[in-house]
Amino acid sequence: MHLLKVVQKPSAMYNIEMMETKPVSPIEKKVNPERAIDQALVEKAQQGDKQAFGILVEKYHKKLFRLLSRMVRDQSEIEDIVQDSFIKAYRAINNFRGDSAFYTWLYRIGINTAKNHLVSLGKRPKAMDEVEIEDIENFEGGYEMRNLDTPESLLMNQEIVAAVSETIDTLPEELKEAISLREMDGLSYEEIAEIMQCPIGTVRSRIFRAREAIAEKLKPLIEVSNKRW
Amino acid sequence: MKEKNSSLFDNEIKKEDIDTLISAKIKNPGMRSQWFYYQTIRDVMRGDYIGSPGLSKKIMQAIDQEPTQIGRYSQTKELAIEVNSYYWQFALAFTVLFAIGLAAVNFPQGKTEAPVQLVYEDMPTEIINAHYANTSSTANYFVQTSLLVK
Repeated sequence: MHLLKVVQKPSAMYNIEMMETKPVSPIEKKVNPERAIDQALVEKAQQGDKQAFGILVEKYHKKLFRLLSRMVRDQSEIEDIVQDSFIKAYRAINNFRGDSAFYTWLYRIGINTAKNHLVSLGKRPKAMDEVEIEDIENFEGGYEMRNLDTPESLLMNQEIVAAVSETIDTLPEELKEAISLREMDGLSYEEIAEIMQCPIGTVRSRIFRAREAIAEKLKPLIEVSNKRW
Repeated sequence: MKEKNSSLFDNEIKKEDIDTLISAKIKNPGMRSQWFYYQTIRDVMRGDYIGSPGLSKKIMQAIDQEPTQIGRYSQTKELAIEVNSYYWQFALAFTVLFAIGLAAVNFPQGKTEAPVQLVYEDMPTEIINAHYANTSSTANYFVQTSLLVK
């Protein structure tokens, strides 16, 4: 059985995909681990644990920043909107019942906050409502942000990018491959284990060691960056 | 634990480990900052890196100014305790009422015939006979009495 699905891409181009649909049995329907983790954090925040909400902030503030950069151009304005959005989310955290993913809920708050901000400035907000929520959840692009960097931050960013690239080059081949498959190709541990023909535990360990090695090189740079700002 | 934190960042963790890891992460600032570097590495490798240093700190400073939200889940627990105490109050009240009712049913009533019988037995027979001889036992007596009153 085939079903036509119209998906609106961020570039406002319509794409008609042929999707094969098959009935999903309750056994096949897996619990999304990301959603389960977020839900656990939300529940702790609902019990009054601000640190749990802090983890959600750490996890999603950049993603929200990138999403809102599609609506607002000024970097400091985006930062204010992101901050307002998280405050609004925190104030309303008890209303979050887990019917949708936390980030979907957060992004809706973010988009509404951005719209209100633009309206208050007398600007016409971009029609974000027309974007499928699925696109928002999978949105990773920071395309438009590159134009927002100041020369100073651009230099710092270049140093950070260079440090990451150089450290990856010095990593042992198996660590390099594991981290690349995970971060660049977005593969799961299971898929990486199949490709690298090793147990999942080994993949877990390789990715961790690669990250720690890169993080060690990044620490001094990030600390300098934080002091400058 | 750090390795598990890395797996948690990738959402590659067993469901039963989620709570333990999150609790450990909340208590350990080192584990929290680990994610910052992991996110930076991910962003750089995907070509999405944006320099917004200190933004998450700024957000958390603002959140710290907010009153702590204690909501649904703790309220549910409180409600459960409330419901529990209500149940016990109801059970206690019911037990007390039941005990009172039981006592009232079994308590000796004032209408027992024993005292009358005792008086009857103590009276001399001639007085009792005289009483019955002078007392009307039919309705005619009451009819006649009411006519006299008129």
